[in-house]
Amino acid sequence: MSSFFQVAGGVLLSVILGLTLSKYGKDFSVVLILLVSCMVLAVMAAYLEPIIDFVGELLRLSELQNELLTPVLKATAIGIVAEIASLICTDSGNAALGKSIQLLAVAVILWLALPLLRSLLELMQRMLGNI
Amino acid sequence: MRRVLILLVIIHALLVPVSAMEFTAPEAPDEAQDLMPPQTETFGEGLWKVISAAIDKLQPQISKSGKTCIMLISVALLVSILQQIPTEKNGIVEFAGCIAVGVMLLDSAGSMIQAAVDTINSLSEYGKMFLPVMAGAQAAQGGLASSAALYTGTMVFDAILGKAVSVWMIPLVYMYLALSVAGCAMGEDLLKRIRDLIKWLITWCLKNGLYIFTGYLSITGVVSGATDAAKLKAAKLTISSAVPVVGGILSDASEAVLVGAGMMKNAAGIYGMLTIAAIWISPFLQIGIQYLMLKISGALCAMLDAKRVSSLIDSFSTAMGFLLGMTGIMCILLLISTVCFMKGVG
Repeated sequence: MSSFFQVAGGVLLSVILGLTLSKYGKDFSVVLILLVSCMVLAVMAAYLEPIIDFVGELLRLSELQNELLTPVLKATAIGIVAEIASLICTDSGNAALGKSIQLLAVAVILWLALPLLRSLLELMQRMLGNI
Repeated sequence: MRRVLILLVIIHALLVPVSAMEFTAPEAPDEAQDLMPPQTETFGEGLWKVISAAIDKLQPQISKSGKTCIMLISVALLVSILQQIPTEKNGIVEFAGCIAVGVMLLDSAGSMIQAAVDTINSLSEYGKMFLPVMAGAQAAQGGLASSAALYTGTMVFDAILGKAVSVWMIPLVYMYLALSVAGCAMGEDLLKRIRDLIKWLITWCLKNGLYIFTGYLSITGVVSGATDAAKLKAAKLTISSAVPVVGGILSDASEAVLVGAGMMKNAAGIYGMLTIAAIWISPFLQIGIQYLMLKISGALCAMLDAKRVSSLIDSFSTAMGFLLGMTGIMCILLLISTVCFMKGVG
């Protein structure tokens, strides 16, 4: 929990630093934001580890097939990365690039969801086949 | 001597072979034999034994439903955890959750639907063997008009309900489930509306079917019961006044015969009612347990942030409710008819 406050403080400091650096050149500030975002993601990964273990336990309990969960986890990860990348692009004045990343993420997530859509179709066929 | 011989020949020619009429309910089918009590004289005691035996056999279903309940809560918890991650593409999490719940519940729902159809068919088959016995006993007791009306009515409703369930309502239940899965996975309102329409249609048909049947029974019971009672009274009066000297004795004897027929009819009725209960109770309790567990899971999942998953679980529990209604109505139809037959004339 203490590391959360440390990270929050660090992020606020980097914002101030970024504002100061932006006077000399916008590039420095963008690089700083990228670095800090990566650091925050690394800290987040440490916190996510026990949650992933818990999710594994839930998976064991619910006897879910991997085909159902893997696309969801991948889609969530892609969503997070796309969100951060898009925000960085927007902050650095490249909103169009940010939007492109968002669109790319949507396309990739839809591609990942294809097995799920097939499962839904199979489920419908099994149900309607009983009629 | 010749006259005596001629008299003996005439008497022999006029002899009609007679035997006591026997009204026994048909044997319980194999699947209900285990639940039947050894003594079926008292209905209350017999019914309690049938229920106790059915509850004893329920343990595997309780643990199976409990496991399903844990699995559903796990999926809902998983969905709600994954939804906490703040991205704008959370729809896929609920989508996958709904498919997972659909896959998990489809097999158990399928076996419950099959159990309900089998129970309805068994009840219908048993009714086809049992109700003629009761109708015959009722007719022997003097209730010709009421037994014919009751038998015809019950058979017609039994046939209509059996056909409606297998040809029409079971496919509707499957359609309801398919629409629920699709509607909850996609979050599409139109599909949910069609699903609600099917729900209304099934409920309306079941409710009104039972109303029409009980209404028919009340009307035929009052009209034909009163007619039979009047006919019986007239016959007794005719016997006692038309036959000199022994008319009163004959009338009393006919009363005793009617009482005997009534007792046989009641014994057959009690056995039949216990058999109907034995056929019905086991699948009804199994579906009931599944219904209850799904309701509990739905309520617990509603507390988590997985609304579409919770709504899908509720839809499955509603489908189980339909099955309970269908089997319940079929059983009630036969039980009400049997009670009406047992009630007697007048």
